[in-house]
Amino acid sequence: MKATLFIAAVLAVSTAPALAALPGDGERMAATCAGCHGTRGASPGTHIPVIGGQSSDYVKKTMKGYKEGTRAGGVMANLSKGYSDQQIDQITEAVASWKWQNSQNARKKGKIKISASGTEVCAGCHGAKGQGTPIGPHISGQAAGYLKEALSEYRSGRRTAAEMGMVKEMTDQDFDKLVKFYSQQK
Amino acid sequence: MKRREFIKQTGIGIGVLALWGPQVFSAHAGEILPKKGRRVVVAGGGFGGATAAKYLKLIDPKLDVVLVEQRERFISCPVSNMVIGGFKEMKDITMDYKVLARKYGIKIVNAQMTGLDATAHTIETSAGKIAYDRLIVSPGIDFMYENIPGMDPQAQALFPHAMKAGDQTVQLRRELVALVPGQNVIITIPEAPYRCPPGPYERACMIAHYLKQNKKGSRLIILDANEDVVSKGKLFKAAWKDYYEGIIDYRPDSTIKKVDVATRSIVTVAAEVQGGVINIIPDQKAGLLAFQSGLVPPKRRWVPVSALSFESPIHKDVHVIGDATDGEVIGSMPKSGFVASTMGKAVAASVVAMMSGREPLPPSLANTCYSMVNEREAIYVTGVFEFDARTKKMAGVKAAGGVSPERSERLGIQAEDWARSIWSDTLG
Repeated sequence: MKATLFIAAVLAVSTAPALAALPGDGERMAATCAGCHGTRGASPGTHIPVIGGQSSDYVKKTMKGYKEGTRAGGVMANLSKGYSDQQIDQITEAVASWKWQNSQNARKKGKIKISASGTEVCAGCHGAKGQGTPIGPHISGQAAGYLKEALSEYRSGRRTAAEMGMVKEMTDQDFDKLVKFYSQQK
Repeated sequence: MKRREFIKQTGIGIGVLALWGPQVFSAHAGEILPKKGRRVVVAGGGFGGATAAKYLKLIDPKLDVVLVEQRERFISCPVSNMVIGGFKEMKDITMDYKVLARKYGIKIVNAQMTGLDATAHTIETSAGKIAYDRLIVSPGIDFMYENIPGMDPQAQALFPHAMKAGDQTVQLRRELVALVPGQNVIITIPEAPYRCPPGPYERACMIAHYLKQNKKGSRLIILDANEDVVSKGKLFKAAWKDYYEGIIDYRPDSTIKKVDVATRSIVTVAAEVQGGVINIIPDQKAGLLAFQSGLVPPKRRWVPVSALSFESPIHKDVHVIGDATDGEVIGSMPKSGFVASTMGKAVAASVVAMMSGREPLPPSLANTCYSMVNEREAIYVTGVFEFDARTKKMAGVKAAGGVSPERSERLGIQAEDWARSIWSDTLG
């Protein structure tokens, strides 16, 4: 009797099709992000940033900043308030787990030549090529419009981060160089 | 053309078939695409249906997914008002379904669904019968012309609704261009709920902008059946005052009582107005397909479904999403492309779960919708909706709902990015 049951159980297991893994709570909530940020965060836009594969700490800090009002935002200032802190943790873990895909909207005209010292100031937090480090977000292959806007907002004070203080002294031409350099990095 | 030749000529292998059109099957009555493995059929390739098909494949690539859509190409309602205003062209809002076939292996049947046999688990289409294990229907909307006396087929042809982007979008644009300066334009807005709550008001901005620049002396009369602007009210009214003063004549509480083709006039309780261009947006109901499939109870306009799984209480294994769903049953949400898209993602997850005997998963829905107030500046509205286990309905999270503090060019750029993104999330 026991043996029969055992065989039946083995048969059941071996003939049952493998069940598809269901998307977790974070993945299902994060699917909403794709509406504006592209499927799995690969934004096709010029100004709405790529978020898939971005560092989870950075995405978390950003979304909580929107929620608490410490970061100025448009639709994100509203949408972030629709989720608990725990839900934001789940959403941002899912977003960070997606694969980074470079934006199609780099500043294309002309390969930029920039001296190593020109990006040294960024490399400390963002990595040599801007691929991100535990303390700074991924900026290489990011949408050019977004990078320009971010730099401008750090300069004007609309966005604040102690680490970005150096941009206060930069000109629009400096910004254009940096935007070209980082948006073109693969 | 024989099937093999069709496949050869279109350069598509047997494994990844695309665009099974009626031309391939006209000689075959009966079943097409015989079902071998677990299959979900999605009927209706708008924002809801196309997104559901894609996300089914993203979640479970082994699932056999068939998308039945009568139109060969997708034409976006969002941004179609920009075509009416002359800032975009039809080609900017027209896309095809090929990527869904090529990239995800979704079988696309270019045919019209005409009936449902829920017991046999088959649908009837203009190309033949298709079997399913579960069916997702995204039927969109249709119009209740019967509510407007005088709105016979001739009047319907003369006074386009343009709320399904396509030929009527082109017609409205063409009529505007041909308008004799000094003649008026009329838009009529039905009582909510209807598709795209801010849509008619955005359209008013686009038309008024065009009149201001091109048709001296012409005014835009808005006859709104609602007591006030339904969505983004303060922002729209501010734009009307700042940009279109003397052009837009907004009249709330103005339900149409009658239309007259001969005099090109519309009668409301308060007045009779004449227009050179008349855009009548009638009361709306679920798409015809929902009625043909027996998914709408007697005397109802919209489709009841479980807010958890989107399954019909009438037909087992049949799920319905999008504008056609009944807000009184699932909880009030705007009938927007973005909401439909999030419903598509939610139903995909639940359908995969339920096909393997697991419980449906609580949906997480949201809305983000931009409207243009001129060629550069936009405004927005947002919403987040979560499943309330007590009421078994979706409920809006209060803090997440609201509109932009102001209009701006920055938001206009984001609106353009939004469109690119949702198009790629749906079809790319």
